Amino acid sequence: MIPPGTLDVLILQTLTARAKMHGFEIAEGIRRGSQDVLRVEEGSLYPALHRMLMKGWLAAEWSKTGANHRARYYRLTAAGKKQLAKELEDYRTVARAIARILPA
Amino acid sequence: MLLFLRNRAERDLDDEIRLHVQLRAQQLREEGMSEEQARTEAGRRFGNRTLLKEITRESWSWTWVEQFVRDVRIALRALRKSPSFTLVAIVSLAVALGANTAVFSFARAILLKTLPVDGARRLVLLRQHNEMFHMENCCFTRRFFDDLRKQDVGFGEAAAVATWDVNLTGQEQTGKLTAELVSGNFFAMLGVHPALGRLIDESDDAAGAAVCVISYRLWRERFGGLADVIGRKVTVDTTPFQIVGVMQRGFAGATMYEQHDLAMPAHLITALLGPSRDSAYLPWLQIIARLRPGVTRAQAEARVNAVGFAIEQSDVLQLQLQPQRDAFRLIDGSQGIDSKKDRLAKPVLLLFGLVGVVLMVACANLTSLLLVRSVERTVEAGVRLALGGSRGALMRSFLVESMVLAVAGAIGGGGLAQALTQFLLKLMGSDGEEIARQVHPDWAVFAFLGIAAILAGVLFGILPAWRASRSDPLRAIRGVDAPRGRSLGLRILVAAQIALSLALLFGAGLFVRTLRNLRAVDLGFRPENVALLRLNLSRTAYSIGRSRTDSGNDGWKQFFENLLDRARQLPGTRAASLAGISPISGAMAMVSINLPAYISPNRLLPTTYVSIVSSGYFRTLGIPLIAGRDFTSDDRASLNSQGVAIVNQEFARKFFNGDALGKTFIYNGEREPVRVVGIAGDTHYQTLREEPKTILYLPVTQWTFPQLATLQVRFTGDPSATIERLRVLVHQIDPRVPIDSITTMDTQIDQALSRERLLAFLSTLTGGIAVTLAAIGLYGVMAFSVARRTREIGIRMAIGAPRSTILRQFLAESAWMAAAGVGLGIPIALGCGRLAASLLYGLSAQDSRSAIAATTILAAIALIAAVIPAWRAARLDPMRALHWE
Repeated sequence: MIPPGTLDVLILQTLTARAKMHGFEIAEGIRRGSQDVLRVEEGSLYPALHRMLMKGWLAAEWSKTGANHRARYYRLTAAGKKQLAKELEDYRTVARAIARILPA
Repeated sequence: MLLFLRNRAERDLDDEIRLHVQLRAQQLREEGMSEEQARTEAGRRFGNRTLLKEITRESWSWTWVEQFVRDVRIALRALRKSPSFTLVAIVSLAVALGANTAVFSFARAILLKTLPVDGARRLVLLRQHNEMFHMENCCFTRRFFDDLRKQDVGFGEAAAVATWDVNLTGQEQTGKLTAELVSGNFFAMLGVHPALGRLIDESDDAAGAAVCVISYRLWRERFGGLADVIGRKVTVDTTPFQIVGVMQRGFAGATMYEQHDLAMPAHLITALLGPSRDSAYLPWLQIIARLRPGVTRAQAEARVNAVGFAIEQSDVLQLQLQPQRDAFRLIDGSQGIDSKKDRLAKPVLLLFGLVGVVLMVACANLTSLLLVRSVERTVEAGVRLALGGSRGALMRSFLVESMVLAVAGAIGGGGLAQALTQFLLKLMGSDGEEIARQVHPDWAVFAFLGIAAILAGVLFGILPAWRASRSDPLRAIRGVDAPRGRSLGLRILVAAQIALSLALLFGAGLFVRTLRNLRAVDLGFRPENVALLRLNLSRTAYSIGRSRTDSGNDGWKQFFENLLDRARQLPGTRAASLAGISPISGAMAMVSINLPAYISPNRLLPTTYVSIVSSGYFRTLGIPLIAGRDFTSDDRASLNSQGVAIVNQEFARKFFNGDALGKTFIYNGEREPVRVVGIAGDTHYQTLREEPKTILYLPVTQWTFPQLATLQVRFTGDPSATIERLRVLVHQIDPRVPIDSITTMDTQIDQALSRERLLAFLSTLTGGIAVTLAAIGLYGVMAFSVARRTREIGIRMAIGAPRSTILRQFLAESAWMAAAGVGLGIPIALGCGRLAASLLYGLSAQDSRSAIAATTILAAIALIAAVIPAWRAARLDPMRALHWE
């Protein structure tokens, strides 16, 4: 189970790896990137993607996959990059605080 | 369109999801699952597709439009569920908005609109105060104008203009129209261009040929809009003219309310009046000028006063007529020479105030009603908040509801404004006919309606919406009461409405009593059953070769004798007479009189009203003859017999100490004195408001030539039949004589009161509306209070409080609100009364009877509005009250 709110930052981070990805590729990216620990309930990806699309953190365009299927490809925008940086910073701050409390 | 976009987006989402699942299934197959299993597993891993699609849809951004549509639908549904509230709200809004819009179009026409020329706002008209006759001269002589132009008084340019009613005879048609005689620089000064040909210029005015220009409208209507109109010959009255041009479109003379379709050089007045008329020394021209940039009206006025008197002094003849120094005045000329601003500005602004107050009351009413509703809908609000709706969205949806009401009110108000405008125009009588052209709906009026509606919607919607968005969802759902505080805001609103209604009712009382006072004025004659027939002989054959001193051919005398005789023989005629001026017609004439024995206080010759009448005048109008005798047909003006006169009591009192019979005096500088042969009772002369003044009656046989004459006929029976008979009679005697108007004395007096009637009617109407709204507001607030405190009432009754106490308590609450309202309203009412003081008659602006009446009416209505919910509270069944949740 992924803690709520971190789905966004995972998606954003995944999209820094490659210029454009479609929904399935992003899901696979998260799964592989986390070495199979984090398994996104795949459907919940799409509301998050569309939401970030509306907020302007992502941009999307329709294209063809390698197997000639019609797919929507997402990419990070400049605003998205900024948001990612901010979220990472927040996350690190919280993580450090927690680490200070918990035993090493 | 929206639907199309939405469908496409949905299909896109479907494609995306399908692809994802497909790829997952493919991957699983590669890992070894069977086709069947892979697909199932992929679907399972994906999750609930329907729900996910739903959630995704939520985030689409152009759903704000859909959101708005949804808000509107919800609002409509909510409004439909409480029909009485919705009806009251929409109707009161429609009435308030409609009234305001209607009055706005009036205000705009009367106060804001100007002539369609450049720099209209800097135009001024010259007037001169006439001390001797206590009036203001509109007009000046040609010589004065020419001399004034040569001086520098701060005008960029000054032109002269006069209007004249003429008969225009063309190739086929003949018709009456109003023409302007203008100085050569008139069109140049105003910046009017010709649509065709050329316009009057300086060379035309310097004794040139008889040329004229016509208006665009006349060109289209009478000359077919063809270019061959230039050079065409027409006959104006009896003089041939040549058309040399057409004025630019939209310009019809220096007037806002009439159409002056013809313009000709001013020097051609001789053609219209006849060569023997000494027009150089006759004041007949109005002077209109434009102030130079940087020169104020006050500065120019001072300069004109300095210069004008010098000009008059240089004119010896002028000096003889007006030995004293009369002050010049510059008045606003932006609306041309017949501006209604002075007369109507105050009533219109007053009206605006009235309907503005009604709008405020309506808004206050709606605010309190909506506040009540918002508190009732806290549960709904709480649920929506709990479900995740944002406070902003909640506020927005409540505001949408207010705007829906406002729009509905605006639509109703628009239609109402149209009807109201027409009605007001009719109420205004002759004024109304004249300004009707300018008072029609255009973009500005619609913009006003729209802005007023939006402002109103925001005004009465913001508070309830904000209140609703602040509710605590938990408490709301649990049904805990809204803040315990006594909702002071609501009570203040109701008190404010009551205060404003009181002010309006007080105003209504003032105006209604003024009207009644005016109607009850003792006129000095009996106006009922008197028909008035007004004839204008100035443009008929009788007037040919006429001047003030030349009595020429006597055809007109025959005409009048004939007319009078035959009118007396008509069935239904009890008496008939002729007069130059009819009482209360607004017209007046004055002469100076020379009495050696009487010294007037200001060294000037005393003046008096004068009326030229035939024999039988006093009998026809019912004016008592106190002493002496009436005129007879033997009173002829000849060189042998002395001229006679009848005077009214006031005249006899003022100039002869009451004993006037047999005395003689000279009037108007005539050569021969006249002898007083009769004294008549005092009557009102020109208007209803003035005190009876001195009136001198002269016999019609001493007339030289009347331009206008009125036949008075006292009749029995049906007025319209009499009117018809008179019309036919004139036509029989001489069909060429045009009838100016036929009416009855009662109608004429009513018309003289049109302004007062209008004010009385409108103030009563707006007062009634305001009171109704206030009563509804009071009722609503009290009903709500009772509903909210049902449990409390139940408890109190259960522990033994008698019903009468409950009743009294709620009535006391309303009484407090009403008292506060009255306390606030009385000073407002008195203050506004002072503003309207000049419009009143027969009572002071602090009239206590009106104040008491208004307060009583208001108290009675407030009582009715409050007693119903209080009564219901007292009748509550305690058991049901306690169980009610």
